[in-house]
Amino acid sequence: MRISFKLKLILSYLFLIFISLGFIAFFLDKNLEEKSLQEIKTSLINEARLIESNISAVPSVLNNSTYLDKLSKDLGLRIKSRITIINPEGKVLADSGVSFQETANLENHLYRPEVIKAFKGQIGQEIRYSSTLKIDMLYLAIPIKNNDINIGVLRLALPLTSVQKVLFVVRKTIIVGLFFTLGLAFVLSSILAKALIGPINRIIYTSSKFAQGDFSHRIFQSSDDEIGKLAATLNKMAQDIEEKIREISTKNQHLEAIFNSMIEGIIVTDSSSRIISINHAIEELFDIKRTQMRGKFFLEVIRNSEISELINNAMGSAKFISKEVVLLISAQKVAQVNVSPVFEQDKVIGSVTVIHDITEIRRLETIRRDFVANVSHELKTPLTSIKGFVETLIEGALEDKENSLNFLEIINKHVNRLDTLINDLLDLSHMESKEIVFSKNKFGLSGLVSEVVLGFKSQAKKKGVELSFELPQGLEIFADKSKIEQVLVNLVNNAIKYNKEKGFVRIYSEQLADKIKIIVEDSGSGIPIKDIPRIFERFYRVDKARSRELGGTGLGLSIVKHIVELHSGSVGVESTEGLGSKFFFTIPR
Amino acid sequence: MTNDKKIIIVEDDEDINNLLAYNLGKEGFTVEQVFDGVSAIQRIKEDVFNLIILDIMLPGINGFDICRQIKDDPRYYRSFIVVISAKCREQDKLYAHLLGADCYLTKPFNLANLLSAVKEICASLDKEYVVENG
Repeated sequence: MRISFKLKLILSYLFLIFISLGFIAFFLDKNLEEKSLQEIKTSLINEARLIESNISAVPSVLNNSTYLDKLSKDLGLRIKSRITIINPEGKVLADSGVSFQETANLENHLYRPEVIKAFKGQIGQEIRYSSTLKIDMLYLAIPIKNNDINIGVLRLALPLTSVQKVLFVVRKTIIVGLFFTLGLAFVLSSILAKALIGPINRIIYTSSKFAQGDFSHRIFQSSDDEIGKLAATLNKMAQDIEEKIREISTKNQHLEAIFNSMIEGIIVTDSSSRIISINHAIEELFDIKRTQMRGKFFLEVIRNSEISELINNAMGSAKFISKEVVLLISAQKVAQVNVSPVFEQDKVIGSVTVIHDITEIRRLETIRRDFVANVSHELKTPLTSIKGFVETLIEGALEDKENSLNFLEIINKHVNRLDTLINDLLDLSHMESKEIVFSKNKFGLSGLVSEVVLGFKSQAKKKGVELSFELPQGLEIFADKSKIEQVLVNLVNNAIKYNKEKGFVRIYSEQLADKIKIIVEDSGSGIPIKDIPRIFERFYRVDKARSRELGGTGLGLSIVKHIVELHSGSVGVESTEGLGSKFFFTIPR
Repeated sequence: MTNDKKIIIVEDDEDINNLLAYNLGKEGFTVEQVFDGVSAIQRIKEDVFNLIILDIMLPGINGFDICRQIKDDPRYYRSFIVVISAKCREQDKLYAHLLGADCYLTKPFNLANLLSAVKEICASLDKEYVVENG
């Protein structure tokens, strides 16, 4: 059974009070008993002396048994004691407790202890159970003297019931008092214990909150005693812990934020290549969920043995390792993988892997390399023709009237092509370096389109292409007019060049929520699906020979894309091979 | 006997192809012209040429592939390849040589150099015949 502290406190109070009161009652009782016995004895002795003096004054009465009997009975009634008179032979001469006739039959009293003492001249005392009266009796015997000669013994006997009655009353009072005191003590100690326990209970309640991790509670304790000090210490501790926790969690949040906002993917593993954490970039890169992988082996989560090997090597050699790794996820990606072992007291306890997706960098590098190669090829090809034909002419072909003019025309064509190419390249380079400054104005789109269409009229007619446009009057855009004209010229030029005989080119617009979409639709050969994603790349041509034959530089659509994007718009194409294409661009309103 | 050699020009740029054909023709050579890789491979398989004047950047099958094809063909063990290309990096030249190119001229090439190279090659072919016949 669990006894509460409060109950223990109450019980110990009660125990203490009970013990102290018990001792007091015990000694009081003893003392009282002795005192009252002593008093009875003293009065009995006095009474005995009084009677003895009556008898010893007239010793002859000892022979008058009738008188003695009467005397003993008279006095016995008066002093409420039994009076026995015994002669020196031990024979009972008179007894107040027995009738005159029976006195003669009483046994000899000579050897009763108190009588023996009295015959020796002392006061004999004895408490004894009286077989005659069946109660405890106090016997007191004194000698009856006549000129210092014992002529008999006077014995007084008093039943102790009266003494016991007195003691019983006293004891009853003490016991009642004891219980009353205990009752009162219980009530008072309960109140006291409650007052003592209250603060302790509050401390228990609050510290149990602390144990649950809730450090926001405080113990309200104003007293300055030990409990007050305990409460103050606990409060201080809670406050310190709360501050530390806040500090740590803020730090953690910062780290978490940095960890997750990093573009580089980060994988932290323990020494057995089990994943401890990954960041958001890794989730995206490998299309996994962070919650599913904690504690799993690296290879269980990311099935790339090359990275796994790098991690193991870095931990094994305790050295930083960096390598370019090709990842085959949904698309092929190139990643720079850096693995650093993590040390704790010179012991490798894990690794940190940083994965930098360099696909885009590599792609851009490839594009740049391709571009340089393309530019040199595109520049060198016309130059080769020019140089070759000039040398041919110098070497005597000038005399060849049949061909010389033709050669000059070829030279002229290539010079023009070079000129166009260089202009296009300069345009592109300006736009890419964002150095270009647009002079934006509000202008009517339909006016501009009609001008462009007019410019292509003869070219369209030559090819038998029907060129038409349908734009709402008053449709205005805010843009660089000459650049938008360049966009339209490039798109319409392509639409006519790659059209079939007796085809059509239509220009129209759609008004979207926040932008205007301009569509140039043709009935040409269309673009194969595989080429569509690359059609806006520099020098990308679906049909290289045909493009060159038609005088294209391979940069037209790239320029279109740049101009539109610098106007915060977008370009696109929908095409069905053999049926035609729809090139479109949007310009914000 | 310089004009009995079989020469093929593989060049997708029509004007350059014609330029070479005109000048070699004037020197007394008979030349065949093809304008793309696929027809070049076809002609090389059908016939055996003594000299192949080859561009690298061709639509479809490129010049390196054609070089490889010629190198693997035992009938061509005595033939010469002259590469004309805008690719001017050393590694491209080395690659072409490894694939069996005998001469590499970068565009824009000097016409006189090309012609003298062709003449030299044809003369050496004649010499070999002489040695063999003698």
